[in-house]
Amino acid sequence: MRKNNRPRKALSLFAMVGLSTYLILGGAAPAQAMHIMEGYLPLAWALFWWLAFVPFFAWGLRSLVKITKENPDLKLLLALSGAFAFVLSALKIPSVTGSCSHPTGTGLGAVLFGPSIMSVLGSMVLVFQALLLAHGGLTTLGANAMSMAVAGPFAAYWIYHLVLRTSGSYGVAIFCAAALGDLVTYVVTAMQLSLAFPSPTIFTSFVKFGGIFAVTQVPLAISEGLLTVLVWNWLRQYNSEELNTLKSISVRNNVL
Amino acid sequence: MKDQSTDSSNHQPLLSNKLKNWLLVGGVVALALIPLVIVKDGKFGGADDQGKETITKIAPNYKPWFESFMKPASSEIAGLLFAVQAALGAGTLGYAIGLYKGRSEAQRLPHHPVNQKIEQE
Repeated sequence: MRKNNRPRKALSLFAMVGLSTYLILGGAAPAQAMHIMEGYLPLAWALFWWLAFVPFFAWGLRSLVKITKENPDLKLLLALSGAFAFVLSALKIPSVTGSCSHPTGTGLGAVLFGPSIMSVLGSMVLVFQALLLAHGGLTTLGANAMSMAVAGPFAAYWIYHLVLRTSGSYGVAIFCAAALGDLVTYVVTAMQLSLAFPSPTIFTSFVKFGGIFAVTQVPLAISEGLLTVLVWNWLRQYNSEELNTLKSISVRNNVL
Repeated sequence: MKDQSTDSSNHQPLLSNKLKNWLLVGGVVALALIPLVIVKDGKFGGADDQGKETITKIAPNYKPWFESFMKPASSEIAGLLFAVQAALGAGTLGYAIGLYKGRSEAQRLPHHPVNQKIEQE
């Protein structure tokens, strides 16, 4: 019983932090893009991010093939990780800034299977949204994939292991990984925009792009963290077997 | 109540797990609802257009050089497509979690219908 109290205490602490953030920052301010819109990156930058993303995609495909070949049973869990990103990036949630943005949902798969597979699963979400919804774009797909399908998942993976090692609590580690991975995604987006549109310097642009969206995204990152912990709880409760299989896989193919 | 008995073998009592999960859901709902209450003059538009505006402000001469092939015909259609996306994801998620739950229950309860069927065969 006592052991159970710790995550719950941490949870209520996070809830309080979230609420305070709201009350303090609850002013109306303009928001920043979730993904970079079609055509809104100069050609050179669009190409650069595409080229940067391709190796990660290849790496992700390789891990994906390897995992499904060695453990065909894990396919459903893979589908679940992709589906989670699919749902979460469709949920436009109102934020304190008076505008809407959406979480990314890439933290779960990154923690379960390692970050590289999310480069494939995450970019599937981006392609769906770029083609059918005119949300994001094909020219900006490389940049958006670098932020949402590479930077976010890798950050989530490292944060998960760092927090797990220091706190020893899976719940806290998953929460931090998902929430901070979400934030990293948007920080990278701001970075990409400020690199492409320095006014007058990259730094001032970054403050402009980053400072605005950060407020919108903080409560969403908290939501993403909570939802990821929820799914993680279900998995631990009903499918601890496959989680253990995954653990032994990740020990063998350590990304770090 | 049925779940409670199936989880008794676990070292963590399910009720607290369940409560924890409800707290998580409640937290997410609260986080989504609070802005609607406390932000009085919010338009709650998509962040897309505001992102575009920021670029236009910083670089007024920039012209987007590529257009989406297909744009949702109206905000209703966009809503539909977003709902389809969420439904596909949530359906898969529910299927997987449901399957895992049924499987773990079948393993824990020796007299579960699933096992009886196997015994008969």
